Order: sequence, then C-alpha cells, then structure tokens
Amino acid sequence: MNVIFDYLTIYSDILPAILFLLATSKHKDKGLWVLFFLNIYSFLNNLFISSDWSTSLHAYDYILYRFFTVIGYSLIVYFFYRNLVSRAMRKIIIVTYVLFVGYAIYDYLISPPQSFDSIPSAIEATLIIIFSIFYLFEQIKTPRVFFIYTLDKFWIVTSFLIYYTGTFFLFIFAESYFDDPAFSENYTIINNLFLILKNVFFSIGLLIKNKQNEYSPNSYPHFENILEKRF
Amino acid sequence: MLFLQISSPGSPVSLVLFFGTVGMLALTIGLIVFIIFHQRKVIRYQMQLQRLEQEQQKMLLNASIRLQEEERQRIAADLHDDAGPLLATARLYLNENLVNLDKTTQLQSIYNAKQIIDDTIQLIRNISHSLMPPTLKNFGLESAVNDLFQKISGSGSMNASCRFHDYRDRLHPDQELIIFRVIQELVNNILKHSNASFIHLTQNLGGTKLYIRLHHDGRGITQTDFEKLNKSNVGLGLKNIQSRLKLLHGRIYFEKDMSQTYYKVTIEIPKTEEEVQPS
Repeated sequence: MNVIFDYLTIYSDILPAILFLLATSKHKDKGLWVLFFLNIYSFLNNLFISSDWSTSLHAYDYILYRFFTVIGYSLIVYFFYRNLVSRAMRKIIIVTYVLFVGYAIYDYLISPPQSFDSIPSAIEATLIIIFSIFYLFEQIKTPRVFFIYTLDKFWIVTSFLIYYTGTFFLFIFAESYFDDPAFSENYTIINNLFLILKNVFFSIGLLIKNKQNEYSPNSYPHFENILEKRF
Repeated sequence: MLFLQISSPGSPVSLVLFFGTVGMLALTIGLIVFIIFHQRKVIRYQMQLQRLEQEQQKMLLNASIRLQEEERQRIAADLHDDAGPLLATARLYLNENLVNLDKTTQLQSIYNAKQIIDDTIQLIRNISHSLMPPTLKNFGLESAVNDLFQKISGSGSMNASCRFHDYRDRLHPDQELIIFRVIQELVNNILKHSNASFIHLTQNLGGTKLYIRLHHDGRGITQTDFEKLNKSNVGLGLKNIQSRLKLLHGRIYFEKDMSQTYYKVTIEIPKTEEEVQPS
C-alpha cells in the first residue's frame, strides 16, 4: 500500500508537467516554464531517492535534499519575481534569495554530513508563504477578474501555500527526528500527501483557461476624453 | 486514518506535528477562503464606485451640453431679435431710396440706414465679445479679470476688486479662457444669489499650482452643499464649473471663513511642466 502511495506521489509530479506541455497558450509565460522545470526536477529527485539502486547512495540523499531545497526555492522564487508587481517586493526577493543561498551553504558546511536541512527548509517555507500571501494581496488590491479562482496563478500559488504550510512543522522536526523510523514514516506520509495535493492544485491551474482582464477598473473611458472632444 | 497513524500515542513530537500541521493547514484554507470572498467584495465595491462616477460624469456631460445649447439659443435670440429687425429696417430705408427720387429724403434715409448699420455692428461686436473677450485674448487673464471687476464696481451695485500676486508668465490661452469662464460663472452666482456687498479676488502661486481665491460677504455655499448640488439635477452652473476644471485637472473648494463672516471659493490649478520650467 505504502509503495503505491510512494509511486503515486513520485509520478504525480509528471501530471502538471504534461499538462503544461499540452497547454500551448501558457508556454509564453516564463514564470510557468520554471515551474515545469521544478516539477521535472522534483520528479527525478524523488525517483532517485526512492529507487532501489540509490539505497547504496543513502549518504547522498541528504545532499540531494539540500540541493532540492536551494534549486526548488530558486525556481519558485523566480516565478514570484516574474509575477509580483511591487518593485519593493521584487527587491526583497533578490535580497532574501542571496541571504537564503548564503545561509544554506553555511548550514551545509557546519552541519554533520548526514543531517536534514531543517532550518533552510523552514526559512524556504516561510519565505514562500510570505510571497504567496503577498501575491494574493496584490490580486485583491487590483482585481482583474470577478472570481479570483478563474486565474491559473491563483491555483498555482494556492498549491505552494498548501504544500509549504502543511510541511512546515515536518521540516522543522526533520533534522532532529529523521533517524527515528516512526517519524520517518510520518514524514513520508505527510510529505507525500501534500506533494500530491500541490500537484493536483497545480494541475487545476494549468487546466484553467486564463481570463485575464475580464474586469478592469480602468476599462471605462474617462470623462475628460469625452469633454476634450466636445470642446 | 492517516492522522491517527501520525498521532500515535507515546510520541509527543507526533502530536505537535499533527496539531501544528492541521493548524497551519486550517489557517491557509481560512486565508484562501477569506481572499476569495474579500476579492469579490472589493470588486463589487469598485463597480459601485464606478457606476456612481459614471452617473456623475453623465450629469456633468449633460450639464455642459445644456449650457452649450443655452448659449446657442442666447446668440440666436440676440441675432434674431436685435440684429434681424435692425438690418430689416436698414433695408427698408435703402428700399425707400429706390422709389423716392427726392434728394433730401434720399440723404435722410441713407443717414438713417447708416445709423442702424452702426448699431448693428456694435451689437454684433457685443455678441462677439461675450463669446471671447478681446482683453483676454490680447492681454491675458489678469487684464480680463480686472476689466470684469471694474465693470462690476462701475455699476455701483457691489465693490469688486482683484489682485494678481504672481502672474508674470501667462498660461496657455485655452487654459486662460477656461479659468476666466469659471471666474465669470462664480461672480455671476455671487451677483445673483449672495446679496454680497463686496467681492475680492486674489491670485497666488504655490509650488507647481496656481491658486485663485474669491472672498465675498454674502450668502454662500460650503463644500458639502457643492457636492450635494453636483449630485442633484439642479446647479447647472456649478456642474459646468466642475466639468471645465476637470479639463485642467483642477479642483475647487467652497468654504466658510474662520470668522464665519466671509465665504471663500478657492480654485487650484496644476501648472503643466512646460509652464513650470521656462525654456
């Protein structure tokens, strides 16, 4: 049963990637391209870690986790960088990215070789949750559609929010309890569950035909223009 | 079943993990639900605001169209009632010359026709001046306003004075005309409704804005009254002021003096970049 669940999780990463390739209208969006790469990378990473032949490379699993934290964060943060309107927030993204990568390297150097990167993962989750909330706040501030859930990126950001809030405590405890078999089992269950949820939401986003600017507050002609023509 | 497995007894970490994860998830779902409903609320509110704005714009447009029509009717009436009969009379005098061969009568009728044509020229000049004051065109806003106030003072009904403190660089002629029309409308309103004994106008520059302020000691309106009148179907002149100022991206404020004796009307007009930076 657990094996099926594991495989379902691993292959769930493929679903959004395939849907993205099929949705040709979304190919122009560079923000979505990076998420396509994220899914492919996540799929390969999980496949590699869980495959039988990797058991001999168990020591490197931790390094793969650490790599995934940094590269996954880089790709997600690039998505937010492309999609957030606020210039100040984009600057914050750059600054926090540099600090985050710096800290992830520092954490790798000072931690024992076979240890889970709890702190970088928790920081990553916190930052992505903040950017997601800010993205949704921007959508409220300048609404483009009457129903926000008709926007593809709403679902994509929701998928990040659900995944990173769901696994936040898991990552925090992981460093101390990863060697505990009971915790390890819980880790797999929770992580897999939220990963599947993330991919489902992500896929919904890719299936939605975007209705941008269906409602625009500035779409009405200004009175000045009418008057200028009349005078 | 899944979470039962997670929260296995004897493991406090699993309990914290379970409640922490469930709590975070509940918060996230709550946040997303809040965003969905709040965003819809924001859009509804914005649409309502837009509808109101559109209605007001429609009213302003109607007011300006009605004012244009009234102006046309006035010019048509002036031409029809005054210039028409005068020219018809002149034609009669000239016709008389054709039938009457008496030299003295002919001279008399030509003289009368000339007088009538002179009157007609004067009348047409008056109409033309009311459409575009020549002082405004040739000498600018300051002189035109001075002229207007001198005429009011000269009539003896009211003491009118004006002072331009900083008007060395003239505005664009179109802008001057709009401002002059606004001042004219305000002065007309004061003359008609306020029963004031004086009007005083001052002009100042503040940063990149031009300020024109009118004081009078009669009955006046405050900003609340102005906004109320603007939203109602009455107050055509005020709507016209509003629409004219909108063209200049200007604002108007109606207020009562601190001493509660005078009413103040302040017009604020932003100067364009060309006017602010002398070439």
